[in-house]
Amino acid sequence: MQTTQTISQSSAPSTQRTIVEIRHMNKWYDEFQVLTDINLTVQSGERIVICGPSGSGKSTLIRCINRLEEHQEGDIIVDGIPLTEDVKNIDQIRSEVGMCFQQFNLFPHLTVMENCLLAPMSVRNTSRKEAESLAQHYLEKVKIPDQASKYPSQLSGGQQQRVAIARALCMKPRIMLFDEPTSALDPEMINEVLEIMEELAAEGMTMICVTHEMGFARKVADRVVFMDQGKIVESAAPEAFFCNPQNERTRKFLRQILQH
Amino acid sequence: MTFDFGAIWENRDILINGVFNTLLISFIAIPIGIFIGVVVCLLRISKRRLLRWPAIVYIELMRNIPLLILIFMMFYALPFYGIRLSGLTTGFICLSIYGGAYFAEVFRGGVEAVSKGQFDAANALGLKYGFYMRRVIFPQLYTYVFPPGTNIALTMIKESSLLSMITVAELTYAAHDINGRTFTPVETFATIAVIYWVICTLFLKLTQILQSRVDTDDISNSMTIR
Repeated sequence: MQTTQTISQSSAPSTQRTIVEIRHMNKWYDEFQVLTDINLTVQSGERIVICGPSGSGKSTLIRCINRLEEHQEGDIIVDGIPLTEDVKNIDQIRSEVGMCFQQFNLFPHLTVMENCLLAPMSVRNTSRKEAESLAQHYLEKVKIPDQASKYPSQLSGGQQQRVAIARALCMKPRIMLFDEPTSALDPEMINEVLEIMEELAAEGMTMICVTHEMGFARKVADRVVFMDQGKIVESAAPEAFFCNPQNERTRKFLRQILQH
Repeated sequence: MTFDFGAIWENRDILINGVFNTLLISFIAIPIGIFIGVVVCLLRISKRRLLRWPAIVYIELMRNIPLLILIFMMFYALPFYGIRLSGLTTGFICLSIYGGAYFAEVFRGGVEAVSKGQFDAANALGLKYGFYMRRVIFPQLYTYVFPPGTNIALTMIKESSLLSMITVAELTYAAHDINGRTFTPVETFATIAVIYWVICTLFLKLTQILQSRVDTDDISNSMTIR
């Protein structure tokens, strides 16, 4: 059941505007329907955490927002731009939406600095000097200013993910998507990445995170969305979501992951 | 049995000319073949059927027709359509398009071996297709394509001997020539075999040096992309 996902949070400031709107979205892989009637509205500055069992379609959902996956039915509107076949729209949306992946996906043959320069220089036509100072700024922000000349393989997983965040931020995105950013990390490196994400959230970045870090969800999220079998089952503020889940499926999921 | 290598030494001019032509044909055809390979690979992996299909047809034709038949068709059949090419030109063209098909498949294998996450990241950053293929994907191919690519190049050097059939004065033709003059098949063909071996070994050494340079340049040998 879709319950409250289209209603913005009461605690939201009045200046908020809709930045991502997904209406009645359906997606199939051949015959198999992976996403069913997805409705989700995200306000500017809102932090959404999407959770759910594996195979529930949460990664697929956020990958649809910047067209890494195509949806077949329904509308996705990002920052006022409808996501269609139109390559111009797709390019425009991608330049507004940053993304971090489970496997970091840094370019292994380029240094940390070059990883950060590539997009601003080629997509935004920023001069090298300007792009370098921008990259340095964001590398400082993710607390690895001194690794700029290293290659990704010379960094730890946590450092790589922080570079990936810096690389995305260099495009000055309005929205950041996180696809299980800490799932491939050793336990002691998870916090250094979550800290950066929390700082980003505190600065008012619109964030949509697929994550199993329920502590992060509780602390940072404005809204937690629970998905199962390609549907949004429940969507609520973290308080309500964790203390008083409405759906039986949500309760079962929470019982299982909060046991440990 | 005595060996008469003196007869070969007397005809060394023919031999040197043959070596020169073999090297010329190979080292023009290999770069052209690589270039064709890159272009055809890009067509082959295109999502558009109109681009993909011609590439598939080309690759399948080249892989499933003997090179010698291709050479004969170009040299003996094309003149009927008013296109008359010299033996050497036929050699360049045939070897290039033959090698190109194999290079294309090797490059395609390389592109497919690059982690899908690399494409995701490039797309998510909004990089244009041509740009990220050039700056992100292809530079990562070296490690994957170097060994099989070297094999194709070596094959091309050796297959250039087929051009002796259309009287291109390359190494094998030179051997026939010398043997015809001196009737010393053992010495002649043994000498030719050694020369092919030396050319191919030197070429292999060259690619190994090149590969180790590339590997240390981008430390792709320590790539830890999971």
